[in-house]
This record gives sequence, structure tokens and C-alpha cells, in this order.
Amino acid sequence: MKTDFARTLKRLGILCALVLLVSCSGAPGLVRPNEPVRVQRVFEVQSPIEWARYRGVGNETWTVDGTALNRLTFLANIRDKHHIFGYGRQTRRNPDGPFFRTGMEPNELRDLLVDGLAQAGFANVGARNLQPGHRDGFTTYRFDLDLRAPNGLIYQGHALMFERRERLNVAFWFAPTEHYHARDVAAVEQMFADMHFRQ
Amino acid sequence: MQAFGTHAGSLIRHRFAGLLLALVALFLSACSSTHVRTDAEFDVARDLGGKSVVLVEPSIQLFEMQASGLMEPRADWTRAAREKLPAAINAILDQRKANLKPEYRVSADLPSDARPRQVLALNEAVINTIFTHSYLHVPLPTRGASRRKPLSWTLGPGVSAIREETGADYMLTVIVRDSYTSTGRAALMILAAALQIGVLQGGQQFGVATLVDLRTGDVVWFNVLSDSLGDLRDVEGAQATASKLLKGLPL
Repeated sequence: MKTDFARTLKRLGILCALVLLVSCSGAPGLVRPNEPVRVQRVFEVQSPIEWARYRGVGNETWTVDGTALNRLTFLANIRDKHHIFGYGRQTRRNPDGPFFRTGMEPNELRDLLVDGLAQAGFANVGARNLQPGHRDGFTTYRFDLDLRAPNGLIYQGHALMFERRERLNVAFWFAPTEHYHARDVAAVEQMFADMHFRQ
Repeated sequence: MQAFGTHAGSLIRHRFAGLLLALVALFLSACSSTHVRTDAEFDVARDLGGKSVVLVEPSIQLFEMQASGLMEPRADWTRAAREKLPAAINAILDQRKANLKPEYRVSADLPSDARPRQVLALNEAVINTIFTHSYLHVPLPTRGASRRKPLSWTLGPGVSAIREETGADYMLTVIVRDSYTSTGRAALMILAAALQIGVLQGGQQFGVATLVDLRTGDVVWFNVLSDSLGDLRDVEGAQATASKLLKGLPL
């Protein structure tokens, strides 16, 4: 009984800390073109275009016109047995879902993001052209994304994943195939190609 | 006795003040408002005289708010409103001597990845984005810090698919969600106000209308309507709603 109470208190404490951290994330910033930016102390990014930047705890979202029209998401330091989008931890009661496990195979990592996006409400989520690579001493995996919003709008995008210190780091971008993907794809591909990672 | 009388008087005054506050809140919640935004060129350079406009797939849904606050979709009301509101919009545009094209609906045979369907799906995403950043004022630093910033969103050149189908210069889209207070909900609202528990929300009419330039894809006019008294179930109500929805439309 006492252990349960202590556990509940601990969980409440973590929840309060998370709420505090999120509320401290502040106003959105602006990413200026061709200025190097450090994201979540993991990614080093330089963009040829301007972005609005929304910082969270362990994640950042960048957008040019609004997140429904183009969305670049960075997820940093996802720990073993944790949900890719931070929706809790893998437990006996909650064994199924897109939970990261250290040492996952490349296709499992790819499916992790695909399953996470499907769980977030997107339909027909697919991944193509999985390409392993090496950068800054890490093994990276890049692939293309296809997905549909609930209203049928088709999105296309790119993703890049790598493990660092037994934790997963992800960057993915998608935009509607209609107009927005074609407009920004070259700039985003250049960003992904020039991206560096902190050791 | 006197002490009791003073206490009773204070209680009555307190109750009266509470009731007055509840009535003021009820009055305020019954207000109607519109929020019009246009693109930067709208007032200075855009000439809509002699241009044609097409109403595209108006999205209208009516609900009944149950005592619990649950929204029950009403197919009969929705069916009636889907006839009355477009008719009222057409009547207003006709009065203003606009060059109206027949209402456009995407053919049911077209696959979901067909261009016109994708353009209309993108239009929904753009409407949500404008609503978020222009009406709800969620900051978007790439669009500046001003609260009354002009519209600068586009659907891109793919809108030519709609222009080719309809022959129109501008596309008018309308989304309306309307809910009506049920008798049970009304009784609960009165009871809650009388007992000073709080002011419960009743039915609410909510609508968005946009005008898109079918040559450039730019959203040139955007209006949000919020009204507690609108009623799409009768012709007069549909006319009033159409008039508020088209406020500031230069046609």
C-alpha cells in the first residue's frame, strides 16, 4: 500500500515536472536562412529557408506556413522502451505500440515511425527507399514517407533516424503533395544532407 | 429579527447580483460576431468587377445539443439547411450582380488522389491554418508579429483544375456547423442560472467562408462567423446567416 502511494507520488511528480518544462518552453522563435542552429543539443542544422520554431521537451517542430502545410519535427534522445512520440513507456499492461528498443534493426526503426504516424491519425502511411549511411561517427537511416490526413490530403516527406548513446534521434518532414512538397523539397533535402550530430 | 431582516436583505441583494451577472453572461454569449481578413493586395489592387465566382461543395452540418451537452447530428435539419443556405448565398450574390457559376461538386467517380479532390482537401488544411494563426492568434513568426496581419496563404497553381472544371475566376467555400439547444438543455440552463451554479453553453452557430483566386491559388478573403442566435432551419435564418457569412465580400 505504502509502495503504491509512493509510486503514485513519483508519477505525479514526473507529470508536474513535465508540465512545468512544457510551460517553460516559451514563445516560438524564428530560424533565419543560412544561420547554423543547434536543435535539442543533438542536431546541428542550417536551412536555406526561414522557419517558425516551436520548442518542446525533447522535441521541436518547425514550420513555414503552419503545421498542416509543412512540418519538420525533431525528436531527441528517445530512451529504450519509450514511445517514439513520447506517449508513455512500454509496460506489461501496455506492451504494444511504437516503442523504441535499443539495437533495433533498420527496418524496425523505419516501421517505428510509420506506426507512430498511423497511431497519430494518419492513414496509408508508407516508407520507401531506406538508405543506410554514416555521418559524424553514427549510422544513419534515411527514407521517404507517404501518408494521408483524415480528410484525404496526401502528404510526402523524408525521415532521418540514428542511435546516439543508445537513444534514438529522429528528424522527419512532410508537406502536402499539392503545391507545398514541390515548393520546399529541395531546401529540405539540402538541410538533411548538411545536418550534423553532436558527439 | 432585525438581524435576520438584514441578513435576508443581503441574501436577496446577493442573489439579485448573481442573477444579473448570469443574465449579462447569457446576453454576451448570445452575441454574434464576424472576423474578416483579406490579403495585402485586396483593397489596393484586386479588381473583382465582372469576375465570375463558383460556390464549391458547401460543408454544412446541424446538431441538437442534448441536456448533457452531447451533440447529436440531425440529418433532417442538415438536409434542409444544405438546400436553404446555398440558395440564400446565391440570392445575395445574384442581388449584387455577381457573375455566378453553377454550384460545383466533385464527381463521385473521381478517385481520392484526383487533382480537384486534393485541391479541396488542401483548401481545408489552409482554412484550418488561417483559423489557427489569424483568428485564434497562435503565433507564427514567419508571418510577422502583427495581430491584424493580411492573409498570405495559397493553394498553389493546382487550383487551375477547379478553374478548368467550372470556368470561374474565384472559388467561394463555406463551412458551417450549427447546433441547437434541446428542451432538456434549455431547462438545465435555466436551472443552473437560477441556482447560480453557472452559465451553461447553449447551441452555437459557427461558420467559415473563404474566397480563393483560381488563377493564382491565393486566399484573398476569409471570414469567421460565430453566432448564438442564427438558425438555418428556416429561410429567414438561412438568409441572415448567409448575409453575415458574406460580410466584406467584394461581390
